[in-house]
Amino acid sequence: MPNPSQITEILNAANSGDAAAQNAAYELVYDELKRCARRQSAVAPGSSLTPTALVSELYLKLHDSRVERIHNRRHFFSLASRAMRQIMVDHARLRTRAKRGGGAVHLELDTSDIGAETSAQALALDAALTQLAARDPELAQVVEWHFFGGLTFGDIAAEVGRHERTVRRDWEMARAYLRRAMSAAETS
Amino acid sequence: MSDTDRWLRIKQLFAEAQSVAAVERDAWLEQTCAGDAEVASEMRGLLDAQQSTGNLLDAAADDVLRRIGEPAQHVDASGMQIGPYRLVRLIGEGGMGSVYLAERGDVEFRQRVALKLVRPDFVNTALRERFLRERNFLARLVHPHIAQLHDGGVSADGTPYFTLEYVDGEPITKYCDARNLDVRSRVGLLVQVCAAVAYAHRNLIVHRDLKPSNILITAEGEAKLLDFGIAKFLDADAGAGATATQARMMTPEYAAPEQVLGGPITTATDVYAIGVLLYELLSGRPPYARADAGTISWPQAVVEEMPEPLARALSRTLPGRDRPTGERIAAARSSNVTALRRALRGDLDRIVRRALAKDAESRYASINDLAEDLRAFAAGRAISGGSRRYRLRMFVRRHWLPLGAAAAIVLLLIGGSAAIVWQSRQIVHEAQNTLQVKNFLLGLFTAVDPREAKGREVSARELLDRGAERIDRHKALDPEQRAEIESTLGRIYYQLGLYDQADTLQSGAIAVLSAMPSQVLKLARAQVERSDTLDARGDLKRAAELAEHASVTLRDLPEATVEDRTRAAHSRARVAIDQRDFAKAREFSEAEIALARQAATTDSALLFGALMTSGAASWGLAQPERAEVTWREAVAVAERDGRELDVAKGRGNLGMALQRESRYAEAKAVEEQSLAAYEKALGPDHAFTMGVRADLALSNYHLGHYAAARTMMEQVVAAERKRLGNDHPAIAGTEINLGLLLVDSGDAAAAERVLTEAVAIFEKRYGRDYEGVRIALGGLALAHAALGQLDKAQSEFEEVIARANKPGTGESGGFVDRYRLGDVKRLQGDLPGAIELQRAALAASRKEYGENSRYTATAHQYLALSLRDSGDDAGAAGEFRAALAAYASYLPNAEHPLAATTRYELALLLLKHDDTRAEALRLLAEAADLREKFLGADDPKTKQARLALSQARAAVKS
Repeated sequence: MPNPSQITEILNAANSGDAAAQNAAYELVYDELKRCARRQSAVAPGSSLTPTALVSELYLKLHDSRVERIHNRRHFFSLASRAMRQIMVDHARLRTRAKRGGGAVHLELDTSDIGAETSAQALALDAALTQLAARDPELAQVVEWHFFGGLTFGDIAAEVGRHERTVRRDWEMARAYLRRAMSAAETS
Repeated sequence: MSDTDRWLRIKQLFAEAQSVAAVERDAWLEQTCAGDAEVASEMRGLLDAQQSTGNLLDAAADDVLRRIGEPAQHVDASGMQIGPYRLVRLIGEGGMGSVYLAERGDVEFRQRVALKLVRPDFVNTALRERFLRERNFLARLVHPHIAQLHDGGVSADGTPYFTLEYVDGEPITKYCDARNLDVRSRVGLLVQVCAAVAYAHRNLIVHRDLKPSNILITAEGEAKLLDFGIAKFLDADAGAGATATQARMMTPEYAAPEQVLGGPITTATDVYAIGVLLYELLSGRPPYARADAGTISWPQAVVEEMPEPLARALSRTLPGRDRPTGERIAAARSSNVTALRRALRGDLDRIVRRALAKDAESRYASINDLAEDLRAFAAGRAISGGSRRYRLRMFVRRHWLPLGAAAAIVLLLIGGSAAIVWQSRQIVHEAQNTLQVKNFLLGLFTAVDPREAKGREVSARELLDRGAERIDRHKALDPEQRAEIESTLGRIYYQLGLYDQADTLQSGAIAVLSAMPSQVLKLARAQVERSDTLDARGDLKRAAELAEHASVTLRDLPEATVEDRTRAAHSRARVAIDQRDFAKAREFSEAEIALARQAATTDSALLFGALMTSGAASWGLAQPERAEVTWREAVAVAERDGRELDVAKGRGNLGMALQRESRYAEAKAVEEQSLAAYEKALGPDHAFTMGVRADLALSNYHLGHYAAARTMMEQVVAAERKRLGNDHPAIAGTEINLGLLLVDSGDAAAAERVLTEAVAIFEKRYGRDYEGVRIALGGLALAHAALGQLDKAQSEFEEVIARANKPGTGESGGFVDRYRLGDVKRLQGDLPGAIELQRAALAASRKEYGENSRYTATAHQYLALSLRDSGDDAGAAGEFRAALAAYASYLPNAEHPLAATTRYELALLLLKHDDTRAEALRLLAEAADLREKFLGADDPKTKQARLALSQARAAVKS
């Protein structure tokens, strides 16, 4: 498994626009996040994966390697947020599959109903977000960073060099758009 | 316009739209989007979406992930080979892992088993090892109702698994519903289940995860428990996350409080789970209403909320979602809602409640005990640990003890051993909850072996004290229970007249309830009861305050019943009467009656009580006619309901009213009925019996039956002395009447003795200013006058008149003393003084009582004597005739010793004139006959009359 400085290197490379490197970096981050998540689960099974916690943990780990550039940070957040999004989608898919799993009889009254519902919504959100990214990448990024990455509007504003007010406005717009897209998907 | 441009425009518009007021939005949109329909529609869509709620984005991603939960890390493994087993198909998914139907393929016959794959993220190395160690131990659990653990191991990829006997059955809940099994059958099934659990407990294994999906019933109706003890092993070494695991692994609905809180797990944990299951099997619902409705979370409910009474759970209405109705639930139990509700009360509710106790110690000590109670229920026997009152009921049902006879015994005990408290005859006896007292005392009796209780004499007091003592010893009572018991015992002490003890207990209950904001109703009720106690103790001010406070509280409390409000009004009325504020008493009792009439369908005794207080208020306001009407209705109400004691009470009061109206013959009749009833129900020595006897004596007195009256009154005084001691006010009250009677019947010496004592008793207890002292003194003065001690009589009368009370309070009207004083003056020779007093007295009497009353008759009489002595024969004759007429107005033919005297005196006057001689003779004859009739032939007065008659006849002849 790559050591932290190796990750940074890859991130740096990714930053320079190398698509392959970007993908590699993404997968790396994703794996690392999952590993963090599993570690957490093993220690305290049942605790939820909090994006902020995981992202923070990962960031700290990378930070320790003392290789940090402002670009890296931004990229890092992007990748980490996207990774979180991916994890959520993965879980949602597994959940829905499990429910539909061949002839399974649910013998108990548990909360799987809510899980399945949420899973379906999560998948819808993913799809809608992809749609939004095609129309307006900046807006989509705000959503990814804020919702999945757990960054505050202030953090985001600092990163992208805009006013907090405008970031907030973007969020409002994006949220309305996504809601609309998700409910449209529901009725169809 | 290009797509990008459109999008930018939309973004811009959206930002601007934020500062447009919602109402103006439509107009603004029309304006700005003029022409471009697409933009307009998208804008509208976005703005609408902005308003909507309940979207994933409104939460945090944390919550979303949490809600999605941890999906199983493995996929459907059907077809895979795990150890010697081949997975045929997935049977189910649980919190712990997946269950597959598997076959063991390496033997000739294909053995079907259930194979459970444990979730990998639930197990770490240490747990895995432990599991393997314990597997053998578990395999030794062999019981017909436990799914046998066969085998276990670890799959190639490190996933632990185990195999169980494959059970083809339905979860117990579904099984029962599908066959519409009735309550008894369901209980029977559960007994099977309990047997299995008990067996495991004997082998020191706690299931920890009992729930319907783990309790299957086969087609043959056999119960099979699954997954025994698994939970215990899997979470053991989880370290810091142990509690979290437990909470997550247990199905929250069935988790016991200690499981939620992370406390020690014991066999009682399984008892709790069975309790939940029982609750569901019986009522079709889970125990906690608020969690069921989604108001609070399940873990919270398990720890905090009390289980809803079974019967009520049936009618639980829940918002939205498809829930079975009460009818459907009842139908699934081969019953209807009414019958099922009835069945779910009593024993079953008690069993369930005990099993679901929050504190593990308070539940059944073992599954066997629970099973025992279930069996007892099914067999119609008494269950364990119920209240004593309950045990009595079951005893009665099975052994046919005629409850009526026992009740009579108890009542006598109350009379025989408890202290009787003096109550002014004007105070109304409350409508007591005698049945409750009876039952409770009976319960105390039969708490021990009933045979034992019969053998020795146990006083009610002793039993009560035993009961009170028990509360203190029972430290484990929760505040609510404690308050309940204190209230009950307080009530009983009150009814036995032991007001100090009652007050202590009731104050205790109130203190406890005051600290419980949810118990406002119980608190108000306790306050009403304590107000009665304070009233009885004489602390009238506090009693009034407390009753008022409770009344106001109940008025605004939606859950207060009509009965509650009636009782509060009743207390207020009674206290007001004791405070002698009769106007207020009337106000409260009118309200009380209105409420009582409303409550009449559920508790008619309340109407009786209300009418009694109302009558008392009228009595106090000097309106005996109104009191009479009200008390008559009270008697009718009690008669209608067959409450004999209340009838007797009502009649007693009615008699009093009739006496006040000078309708003595009617009063006598009514009082005789009352006396008979009391003697029969309570015995000759009971305070109530004595009270009526005293009243009847008075009626007899007024009717001139002096001997009978004297005997009765002396009986009453003796009884009062015996029970209350020599200086109790009750004695003084009776002695006043006795004294007056003695004066009238000619035994002035005896009269002086009793009246002196009466004055002394009252004065000692209440001081010289007390009204009772005044009345007694007036009587004493009369006795002294009769004894010829005129000076003494005069000074006593003058003191009495000086202290004269308000009019309208019976014989204590000041004029009575005036005309008596007048007579003293006459005897002293001060005729003008005498006449002046007596004319005034006569006028007052007429005003207060009218012409046709005893008092007016007497007033006429006294005045006549004074006029005669002053030489005004005509005037005197007129007054004598008026007196006679007045007597005749309420006594048929004016048959009374006093009227005999009137005739005698009048006759003597009339003899002086020829034209009235004939009338005089007639009058003398009547006088002599009457005196003989009332006083006997040998009485000096009779002889006096006879002599006068014979002399007068002789004079005529000559």
